Formats: sequence, structure tokens, C-alpha cells
Amino acid sequence: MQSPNAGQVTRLLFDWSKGDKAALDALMPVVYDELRRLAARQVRNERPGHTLQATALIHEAYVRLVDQDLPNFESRAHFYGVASRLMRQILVDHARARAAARRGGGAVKIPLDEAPDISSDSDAVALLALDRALAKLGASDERKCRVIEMRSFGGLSVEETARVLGVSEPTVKRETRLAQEWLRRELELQQ
Amino acid sequence: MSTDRWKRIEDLFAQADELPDDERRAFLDAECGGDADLRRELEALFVETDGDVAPFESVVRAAAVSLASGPEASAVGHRIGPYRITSSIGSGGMAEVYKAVRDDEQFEHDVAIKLIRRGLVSNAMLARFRNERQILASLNHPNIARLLDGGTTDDGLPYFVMEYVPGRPITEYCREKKLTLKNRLHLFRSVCSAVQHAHRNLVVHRDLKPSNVLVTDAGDVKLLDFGIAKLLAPSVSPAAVTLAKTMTEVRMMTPQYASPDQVRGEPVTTATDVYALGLILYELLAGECPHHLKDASYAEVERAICIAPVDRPSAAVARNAPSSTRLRRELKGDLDNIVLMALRKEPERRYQSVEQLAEDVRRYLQGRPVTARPDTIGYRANKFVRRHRAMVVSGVAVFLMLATFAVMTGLQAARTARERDRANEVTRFLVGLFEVSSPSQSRGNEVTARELLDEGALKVEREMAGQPELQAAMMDTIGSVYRSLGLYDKARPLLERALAQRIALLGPDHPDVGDSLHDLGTLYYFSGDYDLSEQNLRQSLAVRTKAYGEHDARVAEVYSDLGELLRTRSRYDEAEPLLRQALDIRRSVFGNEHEQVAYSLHNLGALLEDKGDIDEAEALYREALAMKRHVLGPDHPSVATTLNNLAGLLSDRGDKVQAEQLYREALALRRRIFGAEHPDLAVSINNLGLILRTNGKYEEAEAMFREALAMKRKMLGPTHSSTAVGMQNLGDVLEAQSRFVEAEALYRESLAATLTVFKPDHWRVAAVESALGSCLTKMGRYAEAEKLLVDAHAKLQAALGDDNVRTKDAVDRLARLHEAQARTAGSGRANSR
Repeated sequence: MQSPNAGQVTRLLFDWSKGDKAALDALMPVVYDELRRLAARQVRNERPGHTLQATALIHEAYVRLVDQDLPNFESRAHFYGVASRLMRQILVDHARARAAARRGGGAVKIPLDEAPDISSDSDAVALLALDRALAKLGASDERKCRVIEMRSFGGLSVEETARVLGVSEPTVKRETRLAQEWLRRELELQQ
Repeated sequence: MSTDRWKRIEDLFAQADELPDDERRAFLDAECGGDADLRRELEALFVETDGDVAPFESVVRAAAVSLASGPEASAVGHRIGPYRITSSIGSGGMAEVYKAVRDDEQFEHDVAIKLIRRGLVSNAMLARFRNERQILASLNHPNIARLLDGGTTDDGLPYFVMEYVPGRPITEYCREKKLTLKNRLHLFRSVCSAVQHAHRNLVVHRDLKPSNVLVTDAGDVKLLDFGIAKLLAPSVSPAAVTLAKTMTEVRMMTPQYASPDQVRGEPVTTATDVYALGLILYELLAGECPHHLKDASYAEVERAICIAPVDRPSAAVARNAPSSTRLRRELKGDLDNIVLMALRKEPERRYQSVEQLAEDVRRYLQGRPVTARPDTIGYRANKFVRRHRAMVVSGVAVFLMLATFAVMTGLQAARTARERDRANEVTRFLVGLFEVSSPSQSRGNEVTARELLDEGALKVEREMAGQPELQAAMMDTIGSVYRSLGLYDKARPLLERALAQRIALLGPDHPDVGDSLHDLGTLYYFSGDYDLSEQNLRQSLAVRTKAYGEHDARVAEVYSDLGELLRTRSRYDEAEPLLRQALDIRRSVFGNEHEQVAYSLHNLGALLEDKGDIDEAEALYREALAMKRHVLGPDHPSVATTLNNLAGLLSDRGDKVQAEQLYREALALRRRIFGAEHPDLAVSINNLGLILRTNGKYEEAEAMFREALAMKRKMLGPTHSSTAVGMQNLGDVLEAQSRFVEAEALYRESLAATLTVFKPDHWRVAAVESALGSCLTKMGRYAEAEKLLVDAHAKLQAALGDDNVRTKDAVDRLARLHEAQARTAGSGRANSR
């Protein structure tokens, strides 16, 4: 079933893909909301321990939010581009909350009755490190940052990523490898 | 790792990646020289293949699992400023709401904190947030939850701190406590009092709905989030309320609580809150919201809120709870009226203030007469117009969306002809909408249709500059609509710019350029700029022929239009091959029996009639008539068109009796099709009038002309070119009856009207001047007459050529003037002797 927002999201996507920055501002909360809603529903409906798949979430959000009659592959690709960025944001927000709860001190106190479990905490730390490294990469080479964002956070294929960025598939593969290497080195330095 | 070194790795990798495996090794050997580290690093890059992102995927997946399996990503336990978050209250599209406690003081007290989501914060929002926080914090009313504080977290997220209200939505409260009608109304008055206070401090809530109106267990009303909606609205310059902005604002609201003003993108005022209060009162009384918009599309929301009438609360109760007869009785009358008055679509027709609404509720409670009235006869008379106006205003949005859709689909799917045709169909539909609807509605509505377009054109100009291709397509569409409304001066700049933009963007041979040239050529044809029209149509023909080949309906269209143009310019010999070519192409594309073929037959007939090949013209008309009757059915409007032309031909050839009969047939057909009023009906009445006049039946002719003129005045307005022709014809039949004074008045009125549409040297202006000159001649006012007739003749000669009937008429009239002058001069001389 389609969300009541389908027509608007489609329109906003179109505007955004045509360079209207304000459209993205309007788009983010809708997609953010939908992704979280879907994530929450997956948790309710699936067996415990079931792996939440970022890619599947984004595909589902896309189907619900975008008017299927209208967009061609181009708009779909753009949507995945936005959704990937949002997915990164959502996961980072979440990780930050968990990591912060553990870190303590500064502006945030640890509530004694809410000690986070260790494993998810180390995941959170890893994700935040990745996020910081990505941000640094993005500052000097935005395209590489977007490639990783789409491929890792959005689960986009090489072909889809190429379409969003308007580059060839070999370029995406090459950028992926270089970005990976750059991030690997950066993360080693951080440790 | 140094930037230079990384840069070198990148470069070498990119180069090596292009090479086949066997050459790569040699390349790397040569480039790395003795730098073993560099060599090793580069080799490592080639180990991972196919852009695998596995290492990060596992990190991301782990985080996703954590998100999905843990509680809502939560700030619980964190501190924001001096507040410690204790639990989550809820979450909306823009923000998370938490319960928190301030514990750096001696006494703890609970607060609610609204934390704006990361990623949704713009600088403009932060600036507005700082500016307005003070105003909101100053709202001090027992029924308004105080805004206590606000700021940004260490992470830069804005937050609001509000008085914590342990309560539930007012609707829930009333339901659970089974409050009586009277108590519900008292509670509602407390809500009004809070809103009143805010309005006095120039703060509009904008997002009033039951979930923002809480009632505590003690029965105290508290309004939440005053003014917050405005802080969170996406930033726009005040002058440009964009469609996207409106949609966003409405989207951020719960659609069923949006007011028509908000949906239409009009300024939010205190009347917006009056409307929202009306909705809350409705829900308190009837137990449900009047709009059910859960899965509605934007268009449905717009329709429901801006156009559809609202059910009376008592009717809703009758429907949902048939057994509640007592409640229904209580609601019927005053309470229905109060609610519906607050819910009127037009802000200016609602209660002028929340005070007035609250006062009416008080009057009801005291058993005194209320001020709210049902829709009375007084304004039912205007209701259609008003409703229509609402439709037109919201229509701007709908129009732009439809047009954008059409254009977008056209752009995106230009490769598949079918999709493109669909988009074109929508465009045609839009143009047709205005063509058909504007004249058949009253004049007042034509004006609003025009306003609608003006606004649309402005929006396109202002808001689509970043999308030049779409902008050009929109300008072309809107320009064509202007043209169909006869607003040529408005149409021209749009169509010209669309053309220029398309040539610049797409090159001179693009099919879209062909479309623009055609549209512009058509415009110039209607506005009487025949040279320009011809120029553009010929270019369009060249572009389209190149794009589609000779045997294409779109090419035939230009041949046909160009032929029509040349016919109008009396260049019959040039026009004929073009119209025949159009006919041939259409026959080969559509087959022998097709409406397009019938149109071509008709057009060719019209040309040959003008040219003087009366016999062949008659044969073509009859063939077209038979084909139309067969293909389109006997009652199709187009059948009447050919009947009319055939009648005209017979009339010219002298067969006045048969002509009169065919005109009567055409008129009867049109009366059947169009009912009482339609522009084409007016034409038919007019034509019958003409033949009746020719046949010397002046009185019946006069009656026809008067009917036609009245209809045109009403439908098209007093200055429309067709109205002007109606005036001229009536003048003519009056003149024939020697009622010169009446005739002169009508001619002059006609002239004035014609001049509002056409330039002073247009042949249509000249035709009226010629008629007026002739009338003045008969009245003996020779000097005035001469000036008019000489002028008119010159203009007609220039525009239509010497052979045109109208030019010849003008010559005759001048001759009669000179005869009359000569006679008078002769008798004058005789008298003076």
C-alpha cells in the first residue's frame, strides 16, 4: 500500500533532482520517518535476531513513498541516493546515543540502571569511527564519500550508484576501492 | 598519510586500472621504480575486486541490528542543558519529545523537551528559532503550556523546553469521562480563551488539533506547541509562497486538521486558528473529524478541505449513532451553525475572531440567540460563485501540478512516443479546459481564470529558472492557454521566450522547437500578425518534416494551419496545394474515413469557396458533412459547423431559401447540443439572422441578432471580439430598417470593443469603421464618414488585399459616399442659386 505522501515525495524528489535544495529539506523528515517506522515494524514482526537489512528497508520505503506510475529509473536512483544519506544519519544518531550513554562525563551522564550491552556498544563505536572517517573523506573528496554512503549504507548496486552519480560503472568500482583503502588507513590512524 | 602520496596512489591506480593485467605489471614496475611500499600499496588495491564493500557493510549491519532490536533511538538518560531526560513521550516527523527533569535546583520539576531531529535543521530555522523564542516565552496564560527554555544541544540540535502536562487529548478526555454536552462546551471555551490570549500577543498557533490540546486529570486545559509550527516551517522568502512549501507545511501537519487557507498556500492568520477550533468543536460534538483523509492523495486532501461542503455535526451524529436522537436534536440548529460558521472555506466569512466564536458558544449555553446563521438565500445566490472561486484559487496549484505532470512526463519519456502522446494529451486537456469552460461561464469567472493563469505564469517565471527545459514547456503551455482565451499580449512573451529557450537548450531542429514555432505561429494568426505567423509556421513545418518525415499527422497539422493562414490572406493559389497536401497526408495516415480527413475536406472546401470554385467547394462540404455525420454522429458540434458553411455557400450563390433552411437546421442542432448558452450557439443564431436579413425578414433577423448579442455579452463579456461582431450585425439590421441613430450607437460600441482586442490597423477594426462610415453617410454626416471610410479602405487593402469581399465593400461604400456628397453638393449649389 502506498503512503498518502506518495505524490508529494515524488514531486519533491523531482524538484530536488532538478537542483531545488529546499525540496531536500522537505524530503528528509518524510523519508526519515518512514524508514524508522519500517525499521520498528520489522522488529515487531520478525523473529528476534533477524537481521535488519538496510537495503530492504530502503526499497520498501521507496515503494511506499514514491508514486510508482511516474518516476523512471532516474528518479528511483536519486531516491536511493537520498535514502542512503538518511540511513547513514539514522544509524549514526542511534550509535551516538548508545556510545554517549557509555562514555559518560561531559554533557552526558551515565544513568546507572541503563548500562548498555557491550557488543552493540563496540558496534556503535565502530560506526561512529566510520562516520567520522567518512566525513573527513567527504571534505576532500565528496564523490568517494557518496560512493561508500550509497554502497554501504544504502545497499545500492554498482550500477545504481553509477546512475545516481552520473559516472560509469568502472569509475564506481575504482572509487569504491580507493575510498575503502583511504578509510582503512584513516581508521587505523584513529585507533 | 601525506596528501601528496595519496594523490599519487590515486593517479597511478586510475591509470593502471585501465590497463589489461599483463601490461599493468610493467606499468607499475616503471612508475614505482624502487619505491617498494608504493608498489605494495597499489598491488593491494587490485586485490579487492568488483567494488566489494564488505568490511563496512558489517559495521553498518551491526548498527542496523542494534537500531532495530533496541528501544527507539533514545536520548533517555542524557542531559540537555540543566535537564535530565527521564523518558520518551513520543515522536513526530520533525522531533522527538521527551519528559525531563530539571535537577540542578533544590526542587525538581518535570518538563517536556522537544528535540529537533538531526539532519532536519537549517540555518534559517535556527535564526527564526532564536528570534521567536522570546515572544513565545512571554505567553503567560493558565491554559497554555509555557515555553520555558530552548537552545541547542552540544551536537547543535535545537530543542524547546516546555511545561510538562500530564494529560490526554481533549477528545479522548471527553470520551473517557463521558462529559455532557454542556461540560464539553465549557471546556471548549477554555481552549478559546487560551487561543485568544495568544492572538492578542500576535501569536498564531497554526497547528491546533486534539493532540495539542490536553486536559489534565484535574480537568485543566493546556494547549501545547504554540507557535512551534511556524518555527519549524521550511524557510521561504515571504513573497514566494511556493507550491512545494504549501505541500510541505500541510504534510507536516496532520492533513485532516489543515485549513483551506493552509492548503491553498495563503497566509496563515488568526482565521486559521478559528477554523482549527471549529474542527475541534466539531469533533467534541459529533465524535469524529469531518474529514477522513488517512490515505488521501494531495489532490484528495485539497478537494476535501477546500471544496467539499462539510456535513453538519448533527448529520454526522445521525449517520454514526442513529440512536443518539437527543444529541442530534441538541446539535441541530445553533450548534450546527456555530461549527459551520467557524469552518467556512473563506477565512473572511468565518468568525472574525476567536472571541466571537467563544461568545456564540456562551450565548448558546445561556440560551440566548447566537450570531451564527446557516447559509441563507442571500448568499446561496453567491454560493456557486464563491465555491467556484475557491476552486479557482486552489486550481492554481492543481493546474500547475497537472501541467508539470504533463510536461515532466513529456520530458522524461520523450523517447517513447506513446508516453509523449499522453503528456501532450494532458496539455491539450488543460488548454481545452480553459477554451471550453471560460466562455460558457459567466464573465466574472473568466476574470478569475485569467488571474489563475497570471499567477501560474508568475510562478513558472519565478520558481522554475533552475529547470529551463521544464520552464520552457510550462511557458509554452500557459502561453497557449492565454491564446485560447484571446489574451494575445499575455501569450506572446511567454511563447516567444519558450521558443528562444528551447532553441538555446535543445538546438534549432528539436521537435519541441517545432511545437513552439507552431504555437507561436498560431498565436500570430489569431492576433492578426500574418507575416510573423507565416514565418513561424513555415519554420515549424521545416522542423517537423525533418523530425517526423512528410507523412505524419503533426506535419499535416502545420500544412493545414499554414493553408488557413494563406486563405485568410487571400493567397488562394498558394493555400490550395498546402491544404491538399494536408488532406493527402491525413488520408494516408488515418485512412479515408476519419474525422481529421473530414476537417481537411471542410477546410479545403472553405478555401475553394473563397477562391470561387463554388461547385467543387459545395461537393467538398457535402462530403465532409456526410463523413462527419458518419464518423462523429449526426449530433456532433462539428456537423453544425459544416452545415453552417454549406449554408453560407448556398447563400452566396443565391440559393437563399435552401441556405435559410440549412441555417435553421444547424441552429436546431446546436440548441440541442448546447442548451441555452454557448458561443457556437450564438454564432448559429447570428448566421440565421444574417440570412434572414438578406431575405428581407428584418424583424425576425433583429430578434436573432438581439438574442445572439445578449448571449455573447453574458458569456464573453462586453469587449470580446465576437460580442463586437454581434453589435455590428445588430447595427446593420437596424440600419437596414433606417433606424440610424440606434445603429450608430451599436457600431460605435462595437468599434470600441474591437479596439480593446485588436490593434487600430487590424482589418476587423477597419470592417467596423467601414460599416460605421456607411451608416454616417446615410445620416448625411459626410466629413466624419469620409475619414472613416478612407482609413478603413486603406487598412483593409493592406491587410486583406484588393480582392477581398470586405475591401470591395469598402470601395463600394466610398463610392456611395462620393455619390451622396456629389448629390448634396449639387443640390447645395442648386439651393444657393
